[in-house]
Amino acid sequence: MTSRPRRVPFDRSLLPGLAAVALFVLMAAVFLSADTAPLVESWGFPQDASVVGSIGAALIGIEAAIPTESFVVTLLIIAIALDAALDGSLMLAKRDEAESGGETVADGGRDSTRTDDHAGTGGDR
Amino acid sequence: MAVLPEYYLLLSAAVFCIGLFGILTRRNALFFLMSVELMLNAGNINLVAFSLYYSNLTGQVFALFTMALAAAEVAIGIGIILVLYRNFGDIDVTEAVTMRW
Amino acid sequence: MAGIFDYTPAIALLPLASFLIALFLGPRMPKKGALAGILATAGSLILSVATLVTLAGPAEPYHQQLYTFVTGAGDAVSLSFGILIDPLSALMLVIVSLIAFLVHVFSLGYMNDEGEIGLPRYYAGLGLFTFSMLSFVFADNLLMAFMFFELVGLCSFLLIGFWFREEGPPSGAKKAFLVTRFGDYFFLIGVVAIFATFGTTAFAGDHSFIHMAEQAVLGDGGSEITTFFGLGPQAWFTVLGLLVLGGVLGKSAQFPLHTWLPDAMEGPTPVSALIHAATMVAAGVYLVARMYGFYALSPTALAVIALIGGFTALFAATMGVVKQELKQVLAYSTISQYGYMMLALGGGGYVAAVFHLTTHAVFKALLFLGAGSVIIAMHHNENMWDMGGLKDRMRVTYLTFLSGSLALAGIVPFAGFWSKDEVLFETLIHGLGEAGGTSQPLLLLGFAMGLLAVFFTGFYTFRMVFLTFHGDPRTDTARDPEPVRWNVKFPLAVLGVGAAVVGFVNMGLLKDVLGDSILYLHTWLDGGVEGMNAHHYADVLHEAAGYSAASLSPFVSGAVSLGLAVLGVLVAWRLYGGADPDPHMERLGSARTLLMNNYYQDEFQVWLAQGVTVPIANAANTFDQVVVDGVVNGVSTVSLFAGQRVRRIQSGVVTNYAMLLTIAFVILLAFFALIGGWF
Repeated sequence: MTSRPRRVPFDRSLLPGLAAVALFVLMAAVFLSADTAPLVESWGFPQDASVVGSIGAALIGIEAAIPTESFVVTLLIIAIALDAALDGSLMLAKRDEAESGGETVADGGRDSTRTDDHAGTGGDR
Repeated sequence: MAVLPEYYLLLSAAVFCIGLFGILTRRNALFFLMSVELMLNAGNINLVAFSLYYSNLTGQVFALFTMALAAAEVAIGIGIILVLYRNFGDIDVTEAVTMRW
Repeated sequence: MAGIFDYTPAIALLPLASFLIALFLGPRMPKKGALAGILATAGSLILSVATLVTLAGPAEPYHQQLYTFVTGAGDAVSLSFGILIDPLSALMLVIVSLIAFLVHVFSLGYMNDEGEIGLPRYYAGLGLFTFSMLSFVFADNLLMAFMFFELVGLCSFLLIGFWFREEGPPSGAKKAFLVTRFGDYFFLIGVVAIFATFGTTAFAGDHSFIHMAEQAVLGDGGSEITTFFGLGPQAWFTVLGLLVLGGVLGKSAQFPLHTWLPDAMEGPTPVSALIHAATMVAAGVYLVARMYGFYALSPTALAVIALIGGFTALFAATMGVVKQELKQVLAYSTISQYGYMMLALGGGGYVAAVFHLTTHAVFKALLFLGAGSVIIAMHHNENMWDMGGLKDRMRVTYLTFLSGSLALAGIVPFAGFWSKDEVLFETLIHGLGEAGGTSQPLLLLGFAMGLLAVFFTGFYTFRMVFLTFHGDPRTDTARDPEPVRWNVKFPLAVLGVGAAVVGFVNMGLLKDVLGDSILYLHTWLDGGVEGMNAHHYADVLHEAAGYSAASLSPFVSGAVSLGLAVLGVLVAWRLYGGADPDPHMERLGSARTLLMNNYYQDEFQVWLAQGVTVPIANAANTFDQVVVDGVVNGVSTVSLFAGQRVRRIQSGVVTNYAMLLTIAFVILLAFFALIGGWF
């Protein structure tokens, strides 16, 4: 089916986006006027070195073909951070056992202990 | 022929500003999180590009870690949005405005 | 006995001790503090007489600094208390302590015997007043005089308002205090200005301001003084003299600050006799006499004084003619007689003014005490139309009152005749003198007003005597008056004799006949500190103010004034001397209303306060609240308003915060880019 192209009405809530546009313009101006000749002269990795292998070697702290820093401690910290994030999201997702009534609307998921008709009315909110 | 660094910077600036645009204009909290992801990855683009120009792998390894952190942050973020929905009944960020003057 | 001068502080300190005794021990004493007061004033009287006698046996006047309470460093001014005993102050000390002693004795009869309550407060007030007045008299510098001037005013307030539970006395006391205080405001400015000009306010000696002023005008001095507003020395001294005159006018109840004295009659009669007849109102005139060397340098100030004095004499005498209450007639008479003294001072008659001050103190105190005796007898009814026929029932009171009235009216040979005649004569001859000048017509005008007032004085005085004592008794109380005791009759007798004989100390009228040596007062006032005696003042008057004396026989003016006084007495006798006099004053109609309302001066002063001062005060208050407070409040309003608007940034919407962050980041980056030259 065809339909006439409709004009999308201008959504006023898009106006704050102009700030992002302004930032892009500014950054573009700075970057395009920069002199990057020193960088372009010597670039690139050695042809026969394995990039991924070197990444792995850096992660566990052994010598690698391509020069890099050692990221052992960082690896361990990230492991802890991911672990904490997992526990945190589980804790946030869990609902409190004793619900406080009133303002809070607690139907972020079905409560298995409630009856069916109660669950039906809760969805109207 | 090498790609000039300015273009990589421009690309990452563009991605960053698109993400920023999303943060400024989106009302759905999930889209908000997606925009945050965009911004983080813009930084990653920069890191990887410059690791090539400096012939040093530090940038790429760092980018990996940034991605891991982004994942952790999204996990927590989704948990917060869940609690937000429970309290306000909607994930529209312009609805949850009780902490105001 | 040169040592007697060391005891002069005791003259004032004895009444101070009686004040303290009456205040703290009074309720327990049998006469509630009266005996302490009587003993203290008797002691002061004895010491004053002894000082007078010592000074007469030729002794140098005594000037002693007692206590320096502010020491100036280097060239700065230092403030001190001191005593100056010279002929003028010794004379005044005797007068004040004599009247105070007699009033204390009289109070036994007026207050104690009538069963008044609160007497310790009364005697304490009398003691404090006597202390302040005596200290004022022997003050050796103007600042000390000012302090005791104010203290005397305070005691007047306390004593007028003695019966404060009634309506009239507190109002009268407040009015007295406020009106005299208003005059004292100008006096204070004058004292400060004198300090600023001369650096000292001492009365006597080569470093006194009077001497420095004379040097500035007549001699070659003038380097140590600073005049203000670009005025020359004589003009500036006129300004200073007029400022101090403000306080004098208030205290001595001259026009326009006379309105408090009739209302001060609400106080007990002994208080009226002491304060408002003989001593406190004399303080103003005494001050001018003390500073006469200063006033003599300025003919304008002298002319102003003479004019005000003459005008007040006539003005008050006309008001006294229609009054119905005994003490009111005497109050207006006091205002009028002090007008004469001011006329004398302005007219160049220093000795005449002091003479009239002395005689007036004696006969006016006598008249007030006599009125007090009548008031006791009439059970505190003061209306003269309810009296009559008392001369047969109260012989002592009648005879002494008659003596005082003859003195007041100025009938020869009673005291008032000699002194009033001297006042008028001095003014006349200085008005007619040869050295011209603009002040002479004013002096003659003052003389004319004073002369006319002699007629009215004779008239109202004897109207008062006839209505009170002669004719038939008009009420039962008058038929059967309450008898008075020795404590009333004794002071009356003493003062009655005094009113008859005190005039003989300076019979100016007869000086051509009997020679100058009979002018005892003149000789007395000629002694003393060089630069502060009568002939020095006459010299200064001649050189600085241009006064010179015409040669006129004193008999001429004496005969005229005596004739007018006798005429007034005869008119009063004709109108009121019968058995049942009519209220003739009512035939004057609207003129009488004007006089009964005191020329509406009271209403005028109240209007000045309410209609002029209150709106100005309201305007100043509005300015303070709107402009001054408005600025301060405006600052806080601005910050509150700004805060109310600025806090709306916290809208709670997260995306708004993000936008603000972004905008700020862009601006900051742009700033650093421009500064750092990133482009």
